Amino acid sequence: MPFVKRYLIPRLIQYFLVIWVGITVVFFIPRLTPNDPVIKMIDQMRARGSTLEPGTMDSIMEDLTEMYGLEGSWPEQYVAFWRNLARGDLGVSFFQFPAPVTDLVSNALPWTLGLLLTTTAISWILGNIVGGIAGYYTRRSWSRTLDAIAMVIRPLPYYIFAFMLLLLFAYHWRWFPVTGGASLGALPEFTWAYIQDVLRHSFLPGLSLAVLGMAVNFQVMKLLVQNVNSEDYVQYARLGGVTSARIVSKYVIRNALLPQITGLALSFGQLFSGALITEIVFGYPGVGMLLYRAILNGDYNLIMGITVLSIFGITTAMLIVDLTYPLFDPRVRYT
Amino acid sequence: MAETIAKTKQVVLRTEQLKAFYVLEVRGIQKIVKAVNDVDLQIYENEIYSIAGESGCGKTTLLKALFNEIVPPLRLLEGKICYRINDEEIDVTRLSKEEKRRLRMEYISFIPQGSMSVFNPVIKIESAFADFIGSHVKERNRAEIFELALRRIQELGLPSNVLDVYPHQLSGGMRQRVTIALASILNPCIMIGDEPTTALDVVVQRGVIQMLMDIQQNLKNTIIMVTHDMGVHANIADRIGIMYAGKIVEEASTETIFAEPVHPYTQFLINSLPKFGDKSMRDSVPGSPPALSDLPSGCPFHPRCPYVKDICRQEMPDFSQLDDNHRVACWLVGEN
Amino acid sequence: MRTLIDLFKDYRFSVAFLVLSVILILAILSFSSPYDPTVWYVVPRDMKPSADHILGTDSNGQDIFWQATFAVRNSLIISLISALVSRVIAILVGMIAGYTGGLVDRVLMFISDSLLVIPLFLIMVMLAMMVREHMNLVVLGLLLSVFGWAWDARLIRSVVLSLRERDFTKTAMLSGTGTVKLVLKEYTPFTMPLIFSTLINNMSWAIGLEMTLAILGLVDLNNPTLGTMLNWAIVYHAILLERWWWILTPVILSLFMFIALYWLSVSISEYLDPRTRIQRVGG
Repeated sequence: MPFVKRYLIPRLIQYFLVIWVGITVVFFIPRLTPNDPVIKMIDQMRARGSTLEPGTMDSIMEDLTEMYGLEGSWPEQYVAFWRNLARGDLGVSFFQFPAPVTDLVSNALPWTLGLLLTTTAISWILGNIVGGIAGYYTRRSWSRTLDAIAMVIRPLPYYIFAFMLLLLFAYHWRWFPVTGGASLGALPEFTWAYIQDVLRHSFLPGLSLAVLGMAVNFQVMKLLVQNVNSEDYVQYARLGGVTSARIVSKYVIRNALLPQITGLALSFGQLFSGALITEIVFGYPGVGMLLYRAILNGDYNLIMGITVLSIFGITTAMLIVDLTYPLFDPRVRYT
Repeated sequence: MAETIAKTKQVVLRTEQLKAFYVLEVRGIQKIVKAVNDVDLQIYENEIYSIAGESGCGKTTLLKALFNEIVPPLRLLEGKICYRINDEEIDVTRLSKEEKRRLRMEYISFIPQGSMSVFNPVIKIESAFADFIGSHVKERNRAEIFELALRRIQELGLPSNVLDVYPHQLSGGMRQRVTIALASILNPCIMIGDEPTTALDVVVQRGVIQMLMDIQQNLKNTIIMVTHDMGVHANIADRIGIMYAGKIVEEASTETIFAEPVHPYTQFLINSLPKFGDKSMRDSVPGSPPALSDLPSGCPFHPRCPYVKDICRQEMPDFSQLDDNHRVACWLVGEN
Repeated sequence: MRTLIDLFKDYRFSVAFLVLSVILILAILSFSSPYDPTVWYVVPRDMKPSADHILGTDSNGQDIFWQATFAVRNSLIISLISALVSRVIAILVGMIAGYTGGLVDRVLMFISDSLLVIPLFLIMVMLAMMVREHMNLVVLGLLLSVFGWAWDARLIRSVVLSLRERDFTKTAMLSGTGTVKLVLKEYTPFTMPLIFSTLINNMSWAIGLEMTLAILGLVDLNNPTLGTMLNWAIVYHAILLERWWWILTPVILSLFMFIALYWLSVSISEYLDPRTRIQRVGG
């Protein structure tokens, strides 16, 4: 089957290659930088006030070296690294010793995924639909107003926008809680009260991500539609008297969505990073907060673990979206 | 004879002093392109009228105007375009958007150039047909529309599976034939073709020309087309209009144009065609056509005309009727 | 000159130009600051805006207005370094990939695509943690530049690809123009507009990322930038203590910068795109 050969196989090869390259980069960063992470760790421990006997220093350094995976030569370390990875072992967190990294991440992940999936779906679907219609009717005033709004929102980085929302809606007008994923002490259960609590806490972070995402999708889709509008097949449909509604949906938006599908796949890395940053602003108990605490504590293993998992997750998500693309574009299916 | 029949035929499309210009603004400077510059046309039922001229003379714009597709940056400055619908003459430039839309496909349809990618790449041909037909004939359901499409496809000699494929799977020639089939499917009174044979190889061209002629003979409707290929004109047209710099300068039956061209420009066009047995050098028209945004005064052909007189530089000649069917706008004829 | 006048007709360009000029003035003002920004407790702490201190003072004992001038200057420097260096990389990669093609192209594009796909934020965090002590403006700028070239390299590559097929390339090659000279001299007018607008975008991105990293504490907090100002404000609980003048200064300044830079880049790229240039259509 030509499709499998020309599209599927190269894509899969790329998938594995990117994962391999990414994880190798993660492997090499701490080993290539001028600081010895073990020494750093000891300095940090000292700075927090622990005193060390001279004899125990050596055994601590040995243990740390082993925990950091820094035993042996680089090739040995590299092989060991991958072996552990294959077993699903990402090591243990340093400051939440002895919690394994995988446990910590899997506790935090549902919060992040919930936030990420809903906001991505909303911002992609809504942003594209509104942007598409706005692009078709570029001269209308509502289209121009929305574009002006997007012009102001789009350039803002995730942190600043989330921070502004926090200042406005949580501090100034106390409509929403300042931090957390649920009220303090609330136990997760499937009651309406708990769900409501979660929704209240996740509203602002969700709003932040969704609005930023919509601003981008709106503007990009508007441009795409303006281009598609001047395509021959749209002109021909107009000359054939096809109804406006049909042209907008089936001829214009349908075709303009194709590059947006590819764009969605490419933006997963950014969306994920954005979610992490937004969580930090709102103290939302997802992977972002986990990362923040890891940074504050110098918990290097945890950061590495999060990065490795993210690489896997993001590239896999990209692969899935890329593989569904032929469903939408027959030109790729039958060549 | 084409001449005598013309007298009893109904006029099906008429324009009166039609002026359609492109108004462009490039960074504060306005530029006006006089693409259709005072055109009076009368097209009859049951005929094939074709328009000849060099590239850049405004042919395509004229077609768009005749089709009543005047969208910015094109503006209708003056004049009327009238269709004859149900024995009534209607100035279509005054119609609402919805009324204009309803006329399309049922009364008048458009055949685009073959080189364009005119079909929506993500849907099958059958679906495109359903869109075009379904936008006009509300009562029919999907199955009936498919029947109709299939019947017309087969009548015109196209393979039936053409409906079940995606546009990129068709060759250029096949696509063009499918667009012609689609244009004829609701039996419109007028079909307008923009260079329907250009960008196709000669064999396919033959098929397309034959297809157009078959449709016209079956439906007994009007076909207005534009092409720069004089051979196509000779093959298919009943009457020919010669267009230059936004104006029709001569119009006559096909035989007359080829046998007795009167306007110097027409003469050049005809004389530049190769003839059997004649091995002498062919002359083409000297110089190049004027930019439509910067037309010369008086008759726009005068800078290239070998018979130019003083009055040609000052005033645009009116039409002189040489015959029932033959008119020409030239001071060589007019002054007498 | 004429292009400038035309550009000013777009309100986005005019507003952005104005805002950025003000910001530039602020940055230049930093050279005449009466206070040293790296020293603490030079003025009374936590004072509201007054005649002596236009924007008040912060908990470190610094005048916020003058602190802000340094912050703006340093943020601009960082972003300029990042943008310029990554332009160079993007141009090199894009042109080589686009012109040479073949295996070189695929390898370069693979590297570039991987950089787009990998969660850069996390890698940046890791890198920043590692080089924290050696972090200064230049190092940060270079760090950011390593990650900012991927998207633009691809854009430049597409332009070069299309230019390669054009007639003037073949003419130049046939008349013996060397490859390097050809690519640099002949193609530059085509790639310049792209480079310029992506430069501005990259500056905006760099400032945003710098601020994010600063708030996570991953930069040298003694060197005032917009990010570090915000970090200090948060650390000292300025929100809870309702010291708005401290919190809002970096936020609003950066807001203006982001929006102005974006408007600048959009208006310039729309101006250069021949399709959007023919605007009003005698409607």
